[in-house]
Amino acid sequence: MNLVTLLVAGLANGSLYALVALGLVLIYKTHDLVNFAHGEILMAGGFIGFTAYQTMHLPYPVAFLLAIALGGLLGAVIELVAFRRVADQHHITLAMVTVGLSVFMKGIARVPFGTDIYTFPPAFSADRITLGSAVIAPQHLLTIGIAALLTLLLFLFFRYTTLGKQMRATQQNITGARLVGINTGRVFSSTWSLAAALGAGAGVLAAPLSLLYPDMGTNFLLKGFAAAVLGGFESVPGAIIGGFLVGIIEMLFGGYVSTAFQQVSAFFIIIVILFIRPNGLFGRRAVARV
Amino acid sequence: MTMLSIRNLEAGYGSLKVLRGLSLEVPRGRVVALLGGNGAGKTTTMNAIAGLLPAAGGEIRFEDRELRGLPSHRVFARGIALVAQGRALFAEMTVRENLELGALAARSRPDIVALTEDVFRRFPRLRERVEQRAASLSGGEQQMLATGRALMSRPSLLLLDEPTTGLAPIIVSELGRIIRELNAGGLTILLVEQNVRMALQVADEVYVMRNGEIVLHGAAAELQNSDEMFSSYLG
Ligand SMILES: Nc1ncnc2c1ncn2[C@@H]1O[C@H](COP(=O)(O)OP(=O)(O)OP(=O)(O)O)[C@@H](O)[C@H]1O
Ligand SMILES: [Mg+2]
Repeated sequence: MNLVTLLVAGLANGSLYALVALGLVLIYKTHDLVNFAHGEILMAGGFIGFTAYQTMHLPYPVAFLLAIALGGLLGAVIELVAFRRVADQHHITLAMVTVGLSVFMKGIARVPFGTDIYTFPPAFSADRITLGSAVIAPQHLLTIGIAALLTLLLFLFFRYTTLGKQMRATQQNITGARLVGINTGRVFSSTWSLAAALGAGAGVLAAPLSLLYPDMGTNFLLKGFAAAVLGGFESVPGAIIGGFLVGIIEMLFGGYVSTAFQQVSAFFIIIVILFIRPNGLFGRRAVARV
Repeated sequence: MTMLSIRNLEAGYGSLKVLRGLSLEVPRGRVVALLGGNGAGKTTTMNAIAGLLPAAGGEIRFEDRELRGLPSHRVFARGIALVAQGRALFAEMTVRENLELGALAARSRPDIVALTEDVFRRFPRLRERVEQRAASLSGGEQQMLATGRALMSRPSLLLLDEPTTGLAPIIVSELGRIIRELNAGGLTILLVEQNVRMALQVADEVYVMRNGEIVLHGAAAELQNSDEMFSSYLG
């Protein structure tokens, strides 16, 4: 396989893992909680995009924005219904709530979509681009571009907006946040919205590359989790670079070594890296919580 | 005229009742000190006022409106700022960012540049540290930053919970001077302290609490020479 082809495909998958990892990291930094339902949020985004684009024939950008908006709404609803009342419980309890939510959401998705596997056509049917001996799929470039744009917007949001600053403050010291008059309930709700919107957007981008089915989230959750761990679980840049690394490692492994172990290759590398740097590439402190 | 009036306040943690009917008043324009030994319930009182801890009973009236039951951001919006014990700074943010956050949720749209300048005039050391992370500051500087951050919202009542804990004597007296200056500028202050000498110097009125109750109340001037009495109460 051509190296450039593999790198571009790896970067495309890696940008999706990075988006998933970002959602996980945001929730973790705010609640000290790993959201095991994050893969199902991605799945929901994929099906929302699919329904809007394939069934309702809306233009692709509209379908994409709709998935992001409804994903954000879904996040806020999850926070309100499933978390607000139990937020001070032990974090193991909260983690179990997200596991339950994951099973529940898969169950809901099977009602309209059954156990079938759906194909989501690429955003535009342009030909593959050939660069020398490298073959590049336009969908890969689109995925990388949109993921990069979302990441940039996220960065600007945290850096320059009042809500973004208040979200960071809440992550760092919740008592401090209350002392400066931040409505932390609103911050929690916004954080869930933002994480879920990113997850749902990743779902629309992921659907043409993988396939669309109610259980599709599991693989992305695992890869996003690996990316987040690699990045230290507390670091936004860490999550992004972790995502790229996981995507590229598994492509190169599949291309040059063996496709049989492609899916687990990234985890193997992560174990090695964590053995050398237990706090991840960007972590400051050990990840102590589930 | 009374700015803050607390009557029969009850608060605690689960089944542990810490405050069992605490009453105190903070007149407008005054510095009132609340003294007491470890575990007396001083922080519990402050947190209940600030809305960080729900109070089980009693009244907390501020400028003739009830505060009890309001969440912390609504209490803050009324013009009360708490500098907590332990400071609760945003450790990974710079001095500038910490100060800015103090103003972002304030009542009226704040002029952050002017407010920051004001804090720097009061605490010149913070100006030198403006781009440093809060975590990298010394204890005294962190206390100044926490106080500066609270001032950024232009509160009408400032609550200070043991600001002098762990600070060198020279910083303690500097802080005492700043508290008097703030008060001279019109700010009403409720100061929790274990440092009796410092508290008597800056406060107009003093309350002493023990086991969740007020056991002594008087003008600071009258209590200046009652060291023995304090040591029996503060134990
Ligand atoms: N979060 C909490 N959970 C359970 N009990 C608590 C909690 N915080 C304080 N307490 C208990 O409540 C009582 C009063 O504590 P509080 O912090 O109000 O005392 P304090 O007067 O501020 O003491 P200090 O001078 O040591 O700060 C103590 O017995 C303490 O152990
Ligand atoms: Mg205390």
